[in-house]
Amino acid sequence: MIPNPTERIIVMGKQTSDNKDIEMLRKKVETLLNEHGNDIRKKATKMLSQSGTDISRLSSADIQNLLFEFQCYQIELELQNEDLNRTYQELSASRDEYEQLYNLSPVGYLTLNKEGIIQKINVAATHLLGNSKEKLIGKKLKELILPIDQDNYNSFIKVFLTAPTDQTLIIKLNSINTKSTHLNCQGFDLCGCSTQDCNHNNTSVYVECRGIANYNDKNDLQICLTINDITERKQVQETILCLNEKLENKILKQTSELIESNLNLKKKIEELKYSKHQLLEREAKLNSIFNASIEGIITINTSGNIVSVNAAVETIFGYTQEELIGYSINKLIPLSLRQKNRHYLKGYLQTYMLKNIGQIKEVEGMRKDGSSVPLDLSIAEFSIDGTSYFTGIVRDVSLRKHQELQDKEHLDELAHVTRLGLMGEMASGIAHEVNQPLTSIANYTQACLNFIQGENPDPKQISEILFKTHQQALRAGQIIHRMRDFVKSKKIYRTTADINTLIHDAISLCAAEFKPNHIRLKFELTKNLPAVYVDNVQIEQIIINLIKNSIDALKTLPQKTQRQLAIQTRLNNDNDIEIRIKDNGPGIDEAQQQKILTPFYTTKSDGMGMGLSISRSLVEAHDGVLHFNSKPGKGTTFYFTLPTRRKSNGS
Amino acid sequence: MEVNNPSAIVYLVDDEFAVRDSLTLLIESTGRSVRSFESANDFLNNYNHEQPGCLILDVRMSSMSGLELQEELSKREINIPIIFISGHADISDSAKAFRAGAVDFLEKPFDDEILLNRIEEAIQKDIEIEEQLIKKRQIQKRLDHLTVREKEVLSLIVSSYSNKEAAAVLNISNRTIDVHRAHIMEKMQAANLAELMMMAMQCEIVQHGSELVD
Repeated sequence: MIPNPTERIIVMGKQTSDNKDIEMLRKKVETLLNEHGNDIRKKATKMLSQSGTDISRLSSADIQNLLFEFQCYQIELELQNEDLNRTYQELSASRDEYEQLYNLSPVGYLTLNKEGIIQKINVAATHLLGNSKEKLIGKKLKELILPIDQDNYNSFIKVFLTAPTDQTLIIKLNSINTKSTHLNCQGFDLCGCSTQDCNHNNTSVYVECRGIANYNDKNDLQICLTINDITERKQVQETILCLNEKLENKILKQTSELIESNLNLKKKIEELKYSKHQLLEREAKLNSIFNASIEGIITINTSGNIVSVNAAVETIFGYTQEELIGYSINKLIPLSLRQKNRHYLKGYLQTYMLKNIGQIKEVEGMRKDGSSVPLDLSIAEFSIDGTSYFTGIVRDVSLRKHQELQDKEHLDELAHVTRLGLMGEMASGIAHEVNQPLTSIANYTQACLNFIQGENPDPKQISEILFKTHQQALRAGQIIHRMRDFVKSKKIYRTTADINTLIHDAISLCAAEFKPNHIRLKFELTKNLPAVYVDNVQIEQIIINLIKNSIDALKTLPQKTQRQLAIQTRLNNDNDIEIRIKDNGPGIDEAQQQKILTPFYTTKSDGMGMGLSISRSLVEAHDGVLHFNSKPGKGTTFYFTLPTRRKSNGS
Repeated sequence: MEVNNPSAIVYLVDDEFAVRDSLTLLIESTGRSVRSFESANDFLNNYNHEQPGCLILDVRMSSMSGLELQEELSKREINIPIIFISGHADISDSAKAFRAGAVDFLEKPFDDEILLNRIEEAIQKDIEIEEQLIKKRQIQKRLDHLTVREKEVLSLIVSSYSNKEAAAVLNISNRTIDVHRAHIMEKMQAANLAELMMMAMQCEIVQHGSELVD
């Protein structure tokens, strides 16, 4: 059995007990042994026993050598020990230093075992994890990590377990120590981010873990982690992200708004372009109308100065545009009508223009050569930027006036010609009418002769008969006179007349037509009607025409039928005299009703077709109207109106 | 002034007062009585055919014309002679008037002598007509007294049948015819056959002989 090294040394020491050095060495060894514990001694003893060296077999020289060697070795050892001690001192100093550094480091350090349980932790880490060292050691780090980051953490750890390399992970911790920094979006309300709404407003702590895996002296895998509080950085980042996002949203929104308003603007531009085009087109149209108009268009301002004239004005008045624009409207007004006073002109214009807006007035204008020109004037008012203008549209009516005069003359002539025709048609009737008084005269005179030749002629009787004879002669003369008037007068003049008298006069000319045709004539004349201002002959012509038409219609009725013709006069609702000639003849069928007032249309074999159309023209020349109602089988009523004297004076 | 048939009346119908009045005076100035009427109806209502007369009639009148009145009078078998007066001579009117037996058709104004002559003629004519009418009525009365057989015999005699022929037609003997003939002559107060023939013609028996035979 081999004793342990310590025993061996003791044994050896006994064998060299007198040796002071040995004693010293032994002491030193004992000290060393004490210091290093029995383990090292036991190990040494064991190693010595295994080396197989047996010192008992050694020579003294060898022992001396060996001792010397041993002493040297001892000294070396002591020196080494001193060195070791010194190193130990240094080591413990650096260890303290390290310990201090470890704990004071702002970076958190953690050591985990392979199960992820915290083995070691420094102060900074405890602060980050928000708990005391005692409570944290032995706890799984995973429990402190927020659920959303746990998967990342698991894979992070897994990597260490398979291939221990240096890697970094950013995780969020469930910080219990809530001294969190609300940096967040506060103060950025301008971006529209309020603290409550912001996703990044929380109290979590972000840490950056950087780790390395190694094996400890027990050959267990351990993971060393440094954890850095990057909450602020992270929050700043997230705030920036948030702000960026918001900014982006804002920009997006504004961009879309911009795009939209851009589109709107484009649309508006298009619209403006279109309306501009329309305006141009309208202006061109108006310009062409303005200049092509045969009516003169004169625009004046409120002072009566001419602002613009069109081409027709030049034609009508003989002035060029340059001679008119800027000058007073007085230039176109006859001398007698001019308003000399400028101020008065202004006031006069205002009232005159405003009074006559929308009406057509017949006025007189003055040409450049001083001659007057009859005009139809209509006035419109417009204003631009608060300034009023008047536009007068004038039409040269001299031609029309002339035409009207000619038309009137033509009508009168035509009326006369047709009157002659009418008289021709009535000649035999009139002859009959004259014959009656002539017959009476012949009878009366012969009777007188007989009485005178007889016995005891009675002068009273004879004078009575002669008086009657005289009356009849007058009557015959009257008819002839009227007839002559009716056909003679080519000169037309109007006089004040009573319509009922005119009717009786007209009837006297056609009285002979009624009897032979068995027509009963009925007068329904309103008495005391206002006077009319007419050409008597033309009105009689109208009446006779209408009566003759009625007679012709009545003639077609069977002999036994009661033939009636009524003449009525009255004042109608418009205060015009209305003359109605009504028969109970066969009426006019609808197809003919359309045509009977047109010239040369006739239903009579010997008619000219002029009667009604002339009658209508004559009525219209007297500012009246001619109408008719007709019911086939019932009769026809022709009626026409004439303005009363008072009325025709007024207009 | 002396006139024939002073009881005769001149009727005047004209709707024109002056004409009526002047004509009345004119005719009255010759001593004739005049009754004037404004319308045909007035005349019809007042005409008395007992007295001889004539009618001066205006062609053209408003309600009933002269020609219509002429027609109406004919219908009523009033045979008063008519002198038409007219404002103007319408040929068709005058032709119609004459066909219907007018005495004359005068155009106004007319020569008073012609008118007065025509009035006298017309009155004379009316008297003659009246006399003939009376005669005719007498003959008719006598005729009414004949028996049916006698009328048959009369009809055959005036139609120039001999006694023998008449007997054959009526299937009676010659002798019986002779008896009838004697009765007829007696009843008709005819002196001879010529007179009987005249009477028969006046009463238009000759034309209507066949009717009598039936």
